[in-house]
Amino acid sequence: MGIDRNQISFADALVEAAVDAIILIDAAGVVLSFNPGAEHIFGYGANEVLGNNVRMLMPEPDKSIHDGYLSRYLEGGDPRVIGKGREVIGQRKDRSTFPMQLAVNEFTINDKRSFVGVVRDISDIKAVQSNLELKTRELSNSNAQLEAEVRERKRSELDLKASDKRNRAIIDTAYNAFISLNVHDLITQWNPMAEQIFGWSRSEAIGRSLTETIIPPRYWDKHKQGLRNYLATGKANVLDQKLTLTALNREKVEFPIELTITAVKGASETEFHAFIQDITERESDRRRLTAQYETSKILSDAKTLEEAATNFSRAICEEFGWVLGSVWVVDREKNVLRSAGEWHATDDLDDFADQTRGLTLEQGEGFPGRAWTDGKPIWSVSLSDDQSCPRTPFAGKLGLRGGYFCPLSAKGDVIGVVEFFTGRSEELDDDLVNVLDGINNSLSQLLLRMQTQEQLSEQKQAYETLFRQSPDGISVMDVETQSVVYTNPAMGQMFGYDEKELEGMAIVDFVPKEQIEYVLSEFQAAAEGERSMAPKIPCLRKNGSVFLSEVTVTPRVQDGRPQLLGYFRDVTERESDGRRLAAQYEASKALAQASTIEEASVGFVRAICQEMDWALGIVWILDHENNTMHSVGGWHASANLYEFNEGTTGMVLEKGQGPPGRAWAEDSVEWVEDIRREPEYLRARLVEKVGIHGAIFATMKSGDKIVGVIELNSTRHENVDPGLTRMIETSGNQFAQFIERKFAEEEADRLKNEFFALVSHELRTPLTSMVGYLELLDEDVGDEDTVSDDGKQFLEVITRNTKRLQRLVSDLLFVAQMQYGSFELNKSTVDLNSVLSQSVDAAKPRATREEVKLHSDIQAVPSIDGDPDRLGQMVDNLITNALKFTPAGGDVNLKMSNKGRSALIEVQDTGPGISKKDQEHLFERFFRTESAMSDSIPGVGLGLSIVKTIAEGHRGKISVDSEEGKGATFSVELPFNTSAQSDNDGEA
Amino acid sequence: MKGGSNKDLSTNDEVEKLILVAEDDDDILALITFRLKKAGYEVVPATNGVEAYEVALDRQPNLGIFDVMMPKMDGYELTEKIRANEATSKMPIIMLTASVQDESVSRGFHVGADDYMKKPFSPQELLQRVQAILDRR
Repeated sequence: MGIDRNQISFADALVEAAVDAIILIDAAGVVLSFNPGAEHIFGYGANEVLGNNVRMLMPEPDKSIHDGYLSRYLEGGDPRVIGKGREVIGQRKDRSTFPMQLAVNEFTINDKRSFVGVVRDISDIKAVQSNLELKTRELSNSNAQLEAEVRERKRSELDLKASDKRNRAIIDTAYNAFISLNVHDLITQWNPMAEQIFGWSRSEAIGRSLTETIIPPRYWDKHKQGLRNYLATGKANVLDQKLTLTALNREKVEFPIELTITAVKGASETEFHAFIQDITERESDRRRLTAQYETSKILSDAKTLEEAATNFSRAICEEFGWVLGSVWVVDREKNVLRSAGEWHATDDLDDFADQTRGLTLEQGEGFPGRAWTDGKPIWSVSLSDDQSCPRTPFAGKLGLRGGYFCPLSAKGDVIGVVEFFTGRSEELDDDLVNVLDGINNSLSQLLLRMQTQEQLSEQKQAYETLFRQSPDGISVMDVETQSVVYTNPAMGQMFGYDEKELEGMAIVDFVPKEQIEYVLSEFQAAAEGERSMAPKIPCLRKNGSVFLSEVTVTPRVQDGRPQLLGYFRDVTERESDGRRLAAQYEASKALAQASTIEEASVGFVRAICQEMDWALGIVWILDHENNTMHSVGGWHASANLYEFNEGTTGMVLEKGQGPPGRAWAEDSVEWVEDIRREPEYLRARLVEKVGIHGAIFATMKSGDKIVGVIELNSTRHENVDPGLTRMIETSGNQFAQFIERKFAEEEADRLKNEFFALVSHELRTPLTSMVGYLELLDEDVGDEDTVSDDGKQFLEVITRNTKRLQRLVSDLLFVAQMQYGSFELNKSTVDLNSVLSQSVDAAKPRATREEVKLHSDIQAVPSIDGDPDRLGQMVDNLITNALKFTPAGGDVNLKMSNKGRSALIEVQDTGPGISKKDQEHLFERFFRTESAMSDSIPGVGLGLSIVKTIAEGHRGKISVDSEEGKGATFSVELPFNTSAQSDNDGEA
Repeated sequence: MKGGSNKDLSTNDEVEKLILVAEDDDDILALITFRLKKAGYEVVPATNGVEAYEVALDRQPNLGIFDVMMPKMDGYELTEKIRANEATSKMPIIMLTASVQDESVSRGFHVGADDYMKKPFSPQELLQRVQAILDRR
């Protein structure tokens, strides 16, 4: 999490690839890292060394020295261990020791001092060096011997003269060239070795001017001057000492010589004897070895790659008299050659040097690019011919003529190129080639090391930056003390602490109380490497609020102590998004399912509280008329909150009173971190008792109209969560619309009921008088014969039509009720036999009048649970209907029988029958059959729809069986136990 | 149904029972009054709830017949007040309702009515219910 793996692996790869041992230790000397180079050099596997003290890599006597250095350094006293490429002794696994060059750098990771040591096995260099020393000693010895001989000769000059033959033998057999000359600079002696070295034969040489024979012309004046001086003064600072000079052979080739000159005053005149040694070979060795040694030293002393490259270029140039040198390194990431540093001898090369610095070359581009690609050195004396190099024009202008480009390889890979330029168009100096050849490997490795060190340092800086800047909290925790060792600033911000404050704090301080056990067990499991911690851990801020953190931990060891490196990422926001959406959805669902505002209130706050983990929710509804608000419903998560919820229910607040009233007055969403700090809070005692802290009060608005206030309470301290605020606003507005709609519905319901009541009252009041007075009149008519026969008939008509009107009003109001959904059954135990008998009795007068025979065949059936009035109305309607359609002389049969667990009521008539087409619509409201209309049969088409409604209200079924011209039979099946039937619906 | 037995019942009563009839429709009030008086009851009429309540307290009737929909004070409220007052709380009450809503019936019982009749009703049936209630006492 948060770390650039590529960067690490690149740096790691460099460390892995380095030929040198790269060893990381901490301040206690414990090895933290041991690369393959180290494994190779020391013979240990990394796993054998890691976690142990670095002393194991030292021979016994050096261990205490090391300890002393380290402790002195840590005390700030002795910085000598740092940087320098010191030569120390290492000890391999097999106890053998070897010389090594050690460069140490301190670095700090997360404020912990650590050290990186780069170790190079210099056994080879040492061997060459001691060889060189040996050779030099031998040569010195032999020279001393010769000098002694000369002195002997000086002492026994006469003897020498006397025994010329013997002397000649000595001279001739001397390993060195032996030359004598007189004061006129003429050669008098020339031994075979001189012949060999200078290419002149004895006969040619004798009598020649020595100056013109073996001295390069540029030194002639100096030489002659010296000779004159000696002859004049008898003094010469060149006599009797070993000199290194440049000589010239017969082929005009210069070469280095070492010589000693002795003046021998003879009888007649002074003679000079010179012992000369061709040191070309030795010089080459010396230069190569010097270069090698210097190179190692320069590179290991250098702090940066550029410094190393510059110093190296300078050393080689100065040694060989070249004017400009530079080092290129391969940048593997970009696959280019990059100039690492250069040195030039004179100011006129500034331009060229400028061109070189900062230049990058592709594979095959320019001489360095070609040397890289080919892996072979290139010697060019025609630099200006190379058109592929951007520096070519400058080379020509500055008179650079020869250039040598040598690839540097490590493990067969070209890791860089060194180049040297000269203004002379001379042959390539073999020494340079040899030197570069000889140091190629070590130079490559050292350059690689420098690169690696820089990478390490960059990596360290990158880590540091990463650590400081990371948006994730990073914390190093001690496993044993279960406390924080140190953290980055993000960790502090996340938890609300000052960064320094966190150090040393116990882990349990960052965990909600009820989660401590869980988190510690996770911590322990992670520390033991069983598994990483749970992906999400509840965390506690300084202010007591809780957030969810994604945690990744890595076990590590620091100073011998097991630690966990933890990355924390606050995922509350991300989590919350999901939960808020869920809450919003659940709240919407609650609104959709609720039929009353109270129900909706409970469902709504429950949805939000449950999803968002809040303890309690209450809905306040405004009463704009009275400028007050009252709570209509609430939900609480746990039983102990009951009292608070209950204490709130029915509470009435004025506008501006308390936090809910204030939210209303200010039309706001108010977050209260701790409601207990609220002054004059009405429910202060209650919140104290049930442990409420945080709260939100948010207005619910339908458009611009504030409809209510949502109150959410939490047992935590709560910080403003803009996401939740938005969610509550959105859902709250939805709820407000629900409330508005419900208010409107309730108002419509109220108006509807009022209307029905009014219509019903207005229709029934006159009917009551009509029915009542007709009844009184009927009594009178029966009692006393005061009404004429016609009058009696008229009264009968009035009575009949009154009843018809009464039924119509009843039907209309019934249908209206059905339509508006306010049809209800007043259920009781109903004896269907009696219901049917009453209906038959009631219908008899009409049947008689219409000359229809009304038969009834009523079997006894069990009682049912139903509305007796409605069932009576149903049977009345069926009989009335049958009578209405049955012509005079016809029959209407009413039958009731048991059919399974139902009563079957059938009404059969001998009317005109009903077409199949009409049967489809028969039970629809206000439907009338074609025959009913054509035959002007009175009615409005409500009777059968009422029958159907009542039958179905009793879980019954209605059907019709009819054919045109063959009458009709209506059947109603009523289950005996309507409630039991409903229970067993699934089985039925 | 002829009410032949009515007179017998009324003549059997030694003391005439007083019935309070509260009904804002004059015709219906007269109808009920006529029927009850003919059956031998003494009737005290009222045309709204407020008046009926005063009469109830004043006269302590044996039974009340209250229309639901009345001006000033409706039948429900009247019934509640009568039930709430110790002096009249035991008075039997029959409610007359013209409402189509069944809830009006249950509300009537809820506030303390002993019986109810839906308008339009048969005066004879009303009389029978009055007699039934008074006989039970």
